[in-house]
Amino acid sequence: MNKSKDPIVEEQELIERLKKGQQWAYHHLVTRYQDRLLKIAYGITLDMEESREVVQDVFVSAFKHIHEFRGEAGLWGWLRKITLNACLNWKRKWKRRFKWHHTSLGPENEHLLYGTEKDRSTPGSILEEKEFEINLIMAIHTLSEKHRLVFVLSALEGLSYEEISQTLKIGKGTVRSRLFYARKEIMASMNR
Amino acid sequence: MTRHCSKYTEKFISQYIDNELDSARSMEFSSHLGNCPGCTGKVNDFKRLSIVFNNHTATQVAQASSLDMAKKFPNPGKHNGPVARFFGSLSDHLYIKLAFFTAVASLLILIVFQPPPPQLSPSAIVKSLDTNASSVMIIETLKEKHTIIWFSET
Repeated sequence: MNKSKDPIVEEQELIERLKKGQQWAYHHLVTRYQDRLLKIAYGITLDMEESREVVQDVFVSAFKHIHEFRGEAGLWGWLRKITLNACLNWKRKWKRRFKWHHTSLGPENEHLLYGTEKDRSTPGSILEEKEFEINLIMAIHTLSEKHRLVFVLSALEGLSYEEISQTLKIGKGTVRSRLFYARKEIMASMNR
Repeated sequence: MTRHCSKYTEKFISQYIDNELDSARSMEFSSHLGNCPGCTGKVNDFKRLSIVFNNHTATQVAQASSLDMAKKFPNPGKHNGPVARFFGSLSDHLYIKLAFFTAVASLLILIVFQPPPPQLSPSAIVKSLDTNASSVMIIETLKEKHTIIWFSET
């Protein structure tokens, strides 16, 4: 197939090609959704290396189980759901190994996020922005799983309460409450 | 952290920035924002969390986007039909796969090495008669009756 003559592949066609096991369709799937899924995975794990592995496994899993795709939430919704579950499994696995909550979040580990102190020797406002960003990420690190999930879906995906409610199978009121407490908890952590 | 006025709760403001208030309350709060630096600050604080987090993840992904995830192409042979899909799904669970093949192998061994059926033995001796010169025995099997006669050579 000549790719240059086929710039827009409709989702349904892509699904059909995936069901036929076509390699090109798999490549197209990865190219189309890789960055968005990585963003979600990173938002939950806050670890890019792990996020890469998680998302790669998500694509393989989606390709293998494409026949189980029912189309209710669209291909993107389906992939997002698989990614969320994969991230949670990853998180639980590491929690069992006492790593998730035992990564030191003190200033001595800031370089893991943004390099060395030397790298951050920038003008005042930019430095203030960077410090805010570092504090924010460290605060998100301390969020519980249920609060982090809701915050990620709202902040990174811009989902409404209704959409988050459907994705996570929780009530709209619970979404409202968790999102508020996530924000409150982040702000409190940043001001400690 | 910005202090907001006591007229509106933080939870209310959280809903406001999520566009989850009804239009009347949303408009009322919007006009309040023009006169209340505290609530405006709180709105900006909440919004900033999402914006900075979004930018941070986007930057991280952009730095990692050079990777080629498509190079790990799963075996397309698993997509041929329901049987192939069944075996494909087994491959995801090593222990189930091992158990499945062990069960199949055990069944095959049982079938191949099954001991031969026992010979049909007489089900009953119908009649037996002994004399000095001969003996006669009538036995009945599942299929037919047999009469066996022994003659004494003495």
